Amino acid sequence: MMLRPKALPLFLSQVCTGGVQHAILLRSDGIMLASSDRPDAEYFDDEKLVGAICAGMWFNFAEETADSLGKTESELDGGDSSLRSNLRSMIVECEGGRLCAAPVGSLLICLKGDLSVELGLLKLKTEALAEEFRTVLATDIVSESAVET
Amino acid sequence: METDLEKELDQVMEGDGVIGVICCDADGLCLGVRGKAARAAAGHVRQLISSAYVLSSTMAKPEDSYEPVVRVSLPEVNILVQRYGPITLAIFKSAES
Repeated sequence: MMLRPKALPLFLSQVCTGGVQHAILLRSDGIMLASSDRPDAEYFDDEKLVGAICAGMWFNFAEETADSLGKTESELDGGDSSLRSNLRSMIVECEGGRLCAAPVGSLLICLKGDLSVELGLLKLKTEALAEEFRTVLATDIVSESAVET
Repeated sequence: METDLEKELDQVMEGDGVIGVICCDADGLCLGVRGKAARAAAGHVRQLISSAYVLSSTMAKPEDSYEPVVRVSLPEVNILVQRYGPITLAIFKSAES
């Protein structure tokens, strides 16, 4: 099964309500695969930057949690081990907004909201979107190589 | 996605004497807040009900299954806290009502 890039923005935009501004799908190396916004949107380039930083933070925290649990790379699932650690979600509260990220196989879903969105709701939306992504596309076959170019 | 939750919170606020309400998830993160309730209270509310649950389980019989209600009485406000599965709700009511 291959992902259809044209359907992804619509899929991601369903959570962009109530203070959630953007939803993006990232690879483990921070490359943005899809966004809820159109490429010509005003803040599209900012989203790419945010996504890259978010993926970098996730990678570092995932390594830390794996190390703290005494797990080695061979003990983690196959594939991209940085996204298969025990880290389930990551919330970042900044001065001007909030981020939440959750893994989907070897990919990462990141939601960005303003200060009006509650942290619990942001996390709930992120995890719900990630779960729906997994359910629809089946985690085992969602990988970077499966995305159409 | 949050529309139903917001409607429910608004409905709770219409209750007699209710001056605030806060709803949080299993991790103590705020899902919604209204009125005089502070979102910073979410974690404390969750911790409060978790402790009450542990306390009540030491007294309850194995066949009993109920969720305890915690009441915090203050001079001007009464805070009622109960857990509903992964969700914890705290209602702030005026002590006069």
